[in-house]
Amino acid sequence: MNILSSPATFYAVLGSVLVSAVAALIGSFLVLQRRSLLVDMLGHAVFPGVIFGFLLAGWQRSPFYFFFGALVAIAMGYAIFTWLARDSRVGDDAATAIALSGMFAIGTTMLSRIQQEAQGAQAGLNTFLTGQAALISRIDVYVFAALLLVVAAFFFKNRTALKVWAFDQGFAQVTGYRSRFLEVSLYAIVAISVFFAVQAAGVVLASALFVLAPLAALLWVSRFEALLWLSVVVAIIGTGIGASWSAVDERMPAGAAIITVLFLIFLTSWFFAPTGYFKSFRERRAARKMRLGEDLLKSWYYFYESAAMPQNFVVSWEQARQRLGAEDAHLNVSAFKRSLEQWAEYRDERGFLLTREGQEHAVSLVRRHRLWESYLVDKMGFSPDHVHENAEKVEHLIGDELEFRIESEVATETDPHGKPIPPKPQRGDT
Amino acid sequence: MNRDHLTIFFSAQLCALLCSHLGVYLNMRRQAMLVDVLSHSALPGIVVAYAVFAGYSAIGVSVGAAICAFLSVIAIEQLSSAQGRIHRDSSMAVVFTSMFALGLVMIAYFAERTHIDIQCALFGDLLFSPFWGDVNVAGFLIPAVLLRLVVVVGVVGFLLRNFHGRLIAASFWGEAATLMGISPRQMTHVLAFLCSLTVMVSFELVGVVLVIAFFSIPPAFGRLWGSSWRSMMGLASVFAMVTTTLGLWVGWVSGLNLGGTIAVAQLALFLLAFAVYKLPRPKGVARGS
Repeated sequence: MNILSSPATFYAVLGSVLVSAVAALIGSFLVLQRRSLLVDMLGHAVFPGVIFGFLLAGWQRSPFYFFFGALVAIAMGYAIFTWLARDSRVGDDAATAIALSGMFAIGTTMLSRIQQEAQGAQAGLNTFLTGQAALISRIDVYVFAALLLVVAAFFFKNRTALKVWAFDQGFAQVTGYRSRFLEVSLYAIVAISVFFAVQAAGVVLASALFVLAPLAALLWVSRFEALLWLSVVVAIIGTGIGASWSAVDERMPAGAAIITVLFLIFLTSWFFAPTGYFKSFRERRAARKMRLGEDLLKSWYYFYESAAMPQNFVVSWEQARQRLGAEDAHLNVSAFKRSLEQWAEYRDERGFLLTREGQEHAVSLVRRHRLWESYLVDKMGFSPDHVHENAEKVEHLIGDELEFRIESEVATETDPHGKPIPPKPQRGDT
Repeated sequence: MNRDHLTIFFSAQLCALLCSHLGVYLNMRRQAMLVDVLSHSALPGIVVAYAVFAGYSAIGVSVGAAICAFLSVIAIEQLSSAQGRIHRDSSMAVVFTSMFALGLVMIAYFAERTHIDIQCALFGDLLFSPFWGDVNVAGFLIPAVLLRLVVVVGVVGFLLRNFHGRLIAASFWGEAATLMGISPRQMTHVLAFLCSLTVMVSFELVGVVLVIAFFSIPPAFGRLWGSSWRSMMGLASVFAMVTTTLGLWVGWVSGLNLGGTIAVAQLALFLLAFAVYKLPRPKGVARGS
């Protein structure tokens, strides 16, 4: 079935894509400013605004008065929010909640007044809450396209100021990048876009249009310009697919279909992006494995140093376990074996035998631990009984160069507890 | 003033008191928008409950909504914890909109089995509360709406009695709480559970959005003028009762939506109080505390 066969569905799809692109541009900025929930608040203010417009137009549905009323109400909601949020006793979150529910309450009350005088004209005023993408007409598409051009031009012209403002508000203020004019024009654009997004997708789903695509893009890129481009691309693709889905399957409401597709794109990014869940999960697991392996190497060194080393140089897991900290001691033998795969020549149920590299690495770990303890006590003025915990963490992070520099700072043969600092292992010498 | 009026009056008061009580915890934890998330993300749970029980069922809806609330809180934690790029605000916005969209998709596909009126679910109406019928308790006919509210107040009150100290410790000093063997995460889940229970019983009376006003405005008033937990709680309760009475009176006289007039009364009185709070005051007079 060709979804573009009927002009009505064609305009619905095209209009949704345009609104979504506008929302993605503005949303990228709001997400960076940590104002993701602001659109939710402004969107709820559209409701009393539309009803105000209805009353103003003499109890008639008039797009122009709806638009005007919505802008007034959004400005009022934003004014309440900023006035309250500036006071630390109220705070951002409570100010958002108060402005959102308060403005919506005004709408609910006015709607019930209108419904008392039922004339039929008010029917569907509250469809603004769930959106009506199917009603997007050719004129709407022109309006949305013009809006996209204006927003894109605004972002292009003020890209430096917006970038500075998004990442460092204080700096933007001091350097004059955050001017009164810029703020007013930006939030005027936000208000207009929120109105059209609410009209197309409904209150709740409009706020999704502003956050989902930018957040998905944010997981892939690190530059402001790249974020803007990618989030617009994501929004266009996701909205195109979602709106077409709803055009093909008439049971499916357009807003819900678009948000579902955008959410799936976000979730995929969240799992697979370079900064995503799997990457950080793998990194954390690798770090845990490395730390456990190095702690086992140190327990080996204890037996080596105290001349309690078994004849065949095989340290049993139970012996090693007693030297480990509380967080590692409960782990099972297979975790121990895995963590030593790089350093052990031989490991089975009984114990492990280190390779030459493993032994050298054990020596250098203990050496770094004790060097760091000496440094903390001698140079930083720590008390000797407070340095062990810190050294337990830092020993895993010290590299060759830092080790060399610490060694040249501290001139001592023993650590603060009187134990000898082993010399740096030479390649091929044990 | 007949029996229906009394039913509406007492259910509105109970609902406002319950919401403002839990709202104080949320306000102090700076989580006022959590109610917004919980009330919207309950939708899939409600749809499933309608489909499973083939129609409305108070227990089914509560259980479905509580499960959704739990899943949302976990999802918010997970989305914002794994890496630094997703801020808490953003993950809240993602979770509640996506859950709501999921609910709409479910309604679209199971519409013939659920018969949910989405507008009804969004708005709610106090006026209809007497029509829920009466329940016979030990020979007395008690309105069902009041009975449900009293049960929820009982459950929330009982759990808060047990958890209050731990909740405070976990909210204000997470490290100390962890050392005492209290898990701050677990306490967040307890609070979310209590809030979702309260949202469920309230949103049929005042609607999904206005319940946010009930949760956020009275505690914010208490925060302005109160100087201790007790005084904040007391002020929030008095504010809730006064605005509920005022809103109900205005609503009755003019025939407007009762939940709406209560929330508008709350907003108006709060803005007035905030303006007074912001007035310049003579030197040496401490504000609030």
